[in-house]
Amino acid sequence: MEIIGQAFLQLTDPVVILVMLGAAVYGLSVGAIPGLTATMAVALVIPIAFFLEPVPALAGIMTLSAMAIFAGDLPAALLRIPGTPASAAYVDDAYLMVRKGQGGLALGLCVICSAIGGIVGAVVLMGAAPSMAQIALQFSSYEKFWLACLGLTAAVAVSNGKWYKGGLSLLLGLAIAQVGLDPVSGQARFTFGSSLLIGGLAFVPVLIGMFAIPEVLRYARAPAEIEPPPVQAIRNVLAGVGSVLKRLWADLVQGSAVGVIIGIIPGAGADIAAYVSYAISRRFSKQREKFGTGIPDGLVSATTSNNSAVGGALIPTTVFGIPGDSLTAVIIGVFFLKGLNPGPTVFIENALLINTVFMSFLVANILMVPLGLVAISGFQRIIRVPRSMLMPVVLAFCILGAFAVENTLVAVGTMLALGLVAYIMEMHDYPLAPAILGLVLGPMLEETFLNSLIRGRGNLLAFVERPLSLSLALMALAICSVPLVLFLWRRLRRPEQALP
Amino acid sequence: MRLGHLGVAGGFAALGVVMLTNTSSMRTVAHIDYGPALFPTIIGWLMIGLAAIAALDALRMMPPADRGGPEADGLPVARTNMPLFFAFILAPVLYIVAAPVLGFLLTMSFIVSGLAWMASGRIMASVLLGIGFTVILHVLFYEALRVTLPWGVLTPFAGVLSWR
Repeated sequence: MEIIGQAFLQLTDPVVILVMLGAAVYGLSVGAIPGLTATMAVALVIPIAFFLEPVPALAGIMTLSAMAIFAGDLPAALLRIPGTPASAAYVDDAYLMVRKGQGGLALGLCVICSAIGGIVGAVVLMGAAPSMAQIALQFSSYEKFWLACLGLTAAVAVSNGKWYKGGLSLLLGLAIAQVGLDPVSGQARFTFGSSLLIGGLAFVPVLIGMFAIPEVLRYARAPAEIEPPPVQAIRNVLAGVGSVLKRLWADLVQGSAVGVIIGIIPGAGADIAAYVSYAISRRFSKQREKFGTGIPDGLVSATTSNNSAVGGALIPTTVFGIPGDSLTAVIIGVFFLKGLNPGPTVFIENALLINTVFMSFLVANILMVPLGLVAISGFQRIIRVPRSMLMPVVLAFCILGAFAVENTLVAVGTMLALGLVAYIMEMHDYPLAPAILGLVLGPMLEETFLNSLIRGRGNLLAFVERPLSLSLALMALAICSVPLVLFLWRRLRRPEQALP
Repeated sequence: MRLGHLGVAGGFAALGVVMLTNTSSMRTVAHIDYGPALFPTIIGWLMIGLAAIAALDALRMMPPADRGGPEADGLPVARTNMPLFFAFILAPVLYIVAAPVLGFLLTMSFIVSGLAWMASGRIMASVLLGIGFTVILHVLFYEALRVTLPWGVLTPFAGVLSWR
């Protein structure tokens, strides 16, 4: 309890407050612009975070993540375009409420439910993470290896589209992680004789390239501006919110719980949490046939869920070093950059800093209410920024961001190359999240794999001798085999048709 | 589009082959039985295997829209802007080539102005945006965050143009 008080005190520093406010404004602005994801928002500011002290940098990143997910609700409600994928589940209900003249209620529910979901996620994170870390301290290299496998297989299983495309994306991430010195013997790999690659491909240019460049190129290929919403759409925010929440309290609880649970599952994230929560509300609602026609019942649980999922996803991120989704994969990169190496020992070695990170996430979600209301009123100004002016600015930020962290032009080339690869992959329906998870987990996976082999003197059965490692192995195998079994089943049943 | 899918699958297969060929000559070090080639070899073989499945799936794609043509990737030709697309791709290349010579201020101003002009057709607004945003970036990164940015031909004026 004492450490939580100390963590809160760290956030009262004027520089930290300033950074958190700046991050909040930035997160709300980027999240509100359709097509610009929360992950991209975080990736773009990593170069700035790199040069800040750990506390303001990490507090800023946490604030930004919370705000960007909520801000995605604004264009979803007003333009029928989800600002981030996490808002896609309830876009019809939010938009049709606005069309019915209930814009204030819809946006009021979005901001209040998002804040409640975020606060629940933060509280669960603060309570559960240290306890889980105590258990994780007992893990040997075998358990760590299977845990990394579990995270990666889950990432592939829940990614949109065909399973083999998720698998190839994952393998690309793992391949990128192979560049540089190998973790056991220290030999150079895939450096092609260049000393610039000995340290591996820099994480920040890869992230910026894979998450920001495809957005920019998609705009450049087919430029289109977005119609601003009607002025009368945003009025009387918060009016009627209390009575709706009183009626739908069970959905609020369901959304918070489902968000945290889905968030904890590696590979799943805020968008999947919102879809699952929406589906559960619909299933148990007395007016399920009205879902999708613009009723608050479809909004409450899903918009709560996507914000509580961020807190849930931070649990495996901080305790095991396994990101819950692509957003936390990027956040984990910032943790490493700031010397906060995730894993069970972080609660012993860096207890104050990790608790400050958690506390900043809680504070950010509380701040979401006043700042969210300001963002709602300022949304029309944000959306009026012409994309023809915005996208060159984003590209300039990408170039300088990639350059600044490494201080070499090679980083700009890396960013462009990976950006083009990511753009081509997205064009052909390859998900990008598994690649980032592969990149983040690659070194851990290889190190634990080789260490386990050396420890077991090549005996592969040693990987499953301990009950916990066997359980994790079976879970990873089950997740891995489900899409494969489905694939083979469909092939056997419909041999004349295209592969599923 | 079908060719595109095949091309991507081929690209992944080629990457798998590169991984295998590059690690084939790596030796294990003394007292460690499992060398630096083991893990990349596994990844390389898996990549080739999955790329083969992707290629097979691409070959089985038969809808008429997937035979190429103007709307092959879902975008009507009238809506695409290929010059702008290539300008955005070439902008980072231009920065790599020109920044050491012209410096950050001139190169970035030119890139942002040029791209904004190509996208919007408004020359004055684009130039103002280019110069204004470059100055903001310079203040943020060079002055506040102490990132070393190239001055290029403006090196003699570096003292005047900054308060560091």
